[in-house]
Amino acid sequence: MNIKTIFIAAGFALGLASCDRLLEFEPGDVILAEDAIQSPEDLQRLLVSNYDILANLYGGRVQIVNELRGPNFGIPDNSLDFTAVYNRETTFFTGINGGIYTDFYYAIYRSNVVIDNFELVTELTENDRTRLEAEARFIRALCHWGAVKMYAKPYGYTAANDHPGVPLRTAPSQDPLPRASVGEVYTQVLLDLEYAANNLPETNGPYATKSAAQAYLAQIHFLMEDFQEAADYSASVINSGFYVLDDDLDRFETDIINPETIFGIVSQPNDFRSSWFRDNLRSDNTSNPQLAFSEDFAFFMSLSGAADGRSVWYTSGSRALINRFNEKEYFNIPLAHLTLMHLIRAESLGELNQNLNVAIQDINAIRARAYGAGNNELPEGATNDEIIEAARDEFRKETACEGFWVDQLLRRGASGEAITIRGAPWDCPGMFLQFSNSETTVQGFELNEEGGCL
Amino acid sequence: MFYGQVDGPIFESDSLAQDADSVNTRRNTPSQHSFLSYFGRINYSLKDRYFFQVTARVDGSSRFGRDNRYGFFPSISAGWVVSDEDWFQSPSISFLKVRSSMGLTGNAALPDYARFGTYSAADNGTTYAGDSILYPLQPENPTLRWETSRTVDASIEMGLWSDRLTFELAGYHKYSTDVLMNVSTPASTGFTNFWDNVGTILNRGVELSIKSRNTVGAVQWTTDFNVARNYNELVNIGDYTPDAVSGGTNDSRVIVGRPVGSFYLVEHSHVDSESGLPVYIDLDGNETYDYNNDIRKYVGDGLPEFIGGLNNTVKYKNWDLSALATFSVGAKIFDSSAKRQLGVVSGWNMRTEKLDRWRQPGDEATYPRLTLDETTYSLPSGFPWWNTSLFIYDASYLRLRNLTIGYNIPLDPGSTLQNCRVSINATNLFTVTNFPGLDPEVVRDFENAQDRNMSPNVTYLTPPQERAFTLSVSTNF
Repeated sequence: MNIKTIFIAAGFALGLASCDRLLEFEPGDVILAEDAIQSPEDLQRLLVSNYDILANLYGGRVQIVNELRGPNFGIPDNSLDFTAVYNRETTFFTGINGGIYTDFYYAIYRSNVVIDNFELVTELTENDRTRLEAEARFIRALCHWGAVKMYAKPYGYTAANDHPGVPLRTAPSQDPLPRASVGEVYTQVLLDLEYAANNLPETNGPYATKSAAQAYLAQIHFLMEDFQEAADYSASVINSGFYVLDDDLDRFETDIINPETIFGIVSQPNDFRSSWFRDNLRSDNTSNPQLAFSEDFAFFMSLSGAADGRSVWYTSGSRALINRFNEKEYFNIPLAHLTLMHLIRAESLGELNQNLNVAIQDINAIRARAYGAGNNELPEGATNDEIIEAARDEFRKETACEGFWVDQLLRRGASGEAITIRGAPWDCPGMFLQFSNSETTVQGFELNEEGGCL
Repeated sequence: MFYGQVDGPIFESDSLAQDADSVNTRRNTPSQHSFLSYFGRINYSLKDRYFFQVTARVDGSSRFGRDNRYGFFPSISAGWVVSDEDWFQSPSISFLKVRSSMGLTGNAALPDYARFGTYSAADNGTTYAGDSILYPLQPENPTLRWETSRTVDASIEMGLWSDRLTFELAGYHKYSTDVLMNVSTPASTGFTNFWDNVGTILNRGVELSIKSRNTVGAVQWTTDFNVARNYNELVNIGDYTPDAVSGGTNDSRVIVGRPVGSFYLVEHSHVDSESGLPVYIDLDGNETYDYNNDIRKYVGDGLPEFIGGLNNTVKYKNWDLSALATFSVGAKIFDSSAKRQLGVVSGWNMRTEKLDRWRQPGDEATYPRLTLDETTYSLPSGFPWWNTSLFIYDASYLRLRNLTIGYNIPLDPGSTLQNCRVSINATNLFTVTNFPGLDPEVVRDFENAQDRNMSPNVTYLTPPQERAFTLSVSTNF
């Protein structure tokens, strides 16, 4: 090979290498993943995007779907998706269950990205790192728990809780995962929330706090029928001194964080996050709103008569229209609140048959607000069964439209009580929402059985 | 070497764009991509009757990462004009040629930035509780690479009687691997879809073309005829299910062993003459009243057995007449809008075919009893889309696609006009078909390729092709 050939070959190789730069294009006004997380502020903004998803989920959508699964709502007006949920016949083509499921896992993925990328941010303080991880794990727990309650049979359905739950994702990955067992999901949820409770600050603006984690631990242990833990965690929140029962019955307030709110969704004048309530429940928005209370619920409410301040939350008629959110264009939505803590503690203590005087005080605090001080009180000598019954009555009323009641019925069904929901056994297949159709795109994912509740 | 750079929309894919929309993406910067190609070609002709060609090209695309950026796509072809051989003596065969080629080709039809994991812009304008947010848009896929097709084709061309009659018979076999698709992924990954090399697709076919100069002289009558049979099959799609790739009206899927975009529906059997309820066929072939999405299966496809055309041209003095007829045999159409227009009664306008419905015990009807309640047909609540094979129709047709009669006006030798022609043209004058809908020849109206590819021969209120009459006067100065 002479020198001329070598030069030509070298020139050609150099030409190839330099031309390769002509093939480098990067998207313009979006950020490449490897550049997205560089500062504590980036992590914080990614974390806030999780709260944004929670607001999309709990701005009424999850609450309404859970009420539609239970006995409190009547048949929807004409919404196909609501009807599918109400009739407990969701399929993987039904939009609303697919959307909720997808949003839960958007938030789980982003939480995992936060947790997985601390090493990318060199100037992150240890305090911020701990707080960010605690908030991310708080949200991850809420979403795993929210999903497993809606898409799987409840905790306690099998003795070992080895029945299928939902995919358990604790790291960002594009690999498909099968359903973890319900027991595995609950174990991880508790781990995440315990970490959150131990590491979150006591105040954190509209975001997660130590009390918020404890409030969810109380709710989860309550559904697991770990009544001692439920009572202890709810007591911790009640005794924290950060929250007080509201004087009135309205927890859904505009431009004000209600004093009972332990954790909730924030709406602002230019950022309504409560539209699902407004658009589907308000009886003053339209003469025929999409959703109304069921006859069963209206009858239940009517038993306490007009003396119950909560009786104004509905209107009797062929459809028991919902008034609870009337005249509000937007409002903040409490998700964990002090009323819930009092009622969980009361019922847990009733189940434990201990500290019944505390349980009675819890119930009477709620009743005093509903009926007026001194009216309709639970007597001092009430038995634990009477306390449990009273706690359940108040729970059902106080959380109307908040989507909690169906979980309580499923808990009691799983513990052996003969529960029927709108004429069908509590564990009929369609009670549990079908997964998103995208979950079926890879072989081997176990779908829920459909229908069977009509 | 060739280098091309293109600016355009960020996404070629509606589905990706919609996904991005759903997370409040703002994207205003034009999308860019480039291709860089090196190619060489050697042609060799021996005695004007042996022809060889070898090409080799290396194509690079900005749409792929460094490790997979370039593809090597060689090809080789050879031709032989048999009729030029000294030993070839035939009184009737005036021309005979055979040729064949084989090679690799590449395809990079995917959005420009599909390989990148991306996040929203810092100033995306979305806030929660007054705080700005940052969110992921799409997952990274660094393994994206060229879709590659191995193609082998061959043909024989023949001319008879001084080329009064010529014909060509050609066949091809194309085997595409690493086919690029926008696939749905499990939502639990945190994303719902992304671009990936997932499929293997086989295409093969044969085409016959015949041209006949029937008369020459004062009356010149020429006939062109062609007929083709094409076959398409999804060979492999890895661990994905048929639901992983969708598009169009969402009634067609990718099913291994079937053409891409096959109809994937619940099979309809008949209407029960006693109850008036629809009877379906389950996966085991048994009749059932239970509609369930789990018993969806391949029930047909839009691939025709034959397609072709016949064009006749007659010229006499200054007059000319041409007529082009096209035909398709054996394809099926799924009338996707029928699931609402002939199914559960709703706010949709119903079609008159619904008059052939069950009314009383003993009726043998095409359509089941009327109902406003989807559960009557065993559909899930809130699911009035009665997607069944009942709405699959034979899409065979014969269409007079084009008829033109023209007259070239004689001009004086000194005229400033070079020519002057008057013609009347009619398109789609008539169609012979058993398809009861508007048009058996579906012209897809989707913007993106995957929607089009996934719903061949699916109509959904698709407008028919128009019948048009055109009077033209043309001249050159």
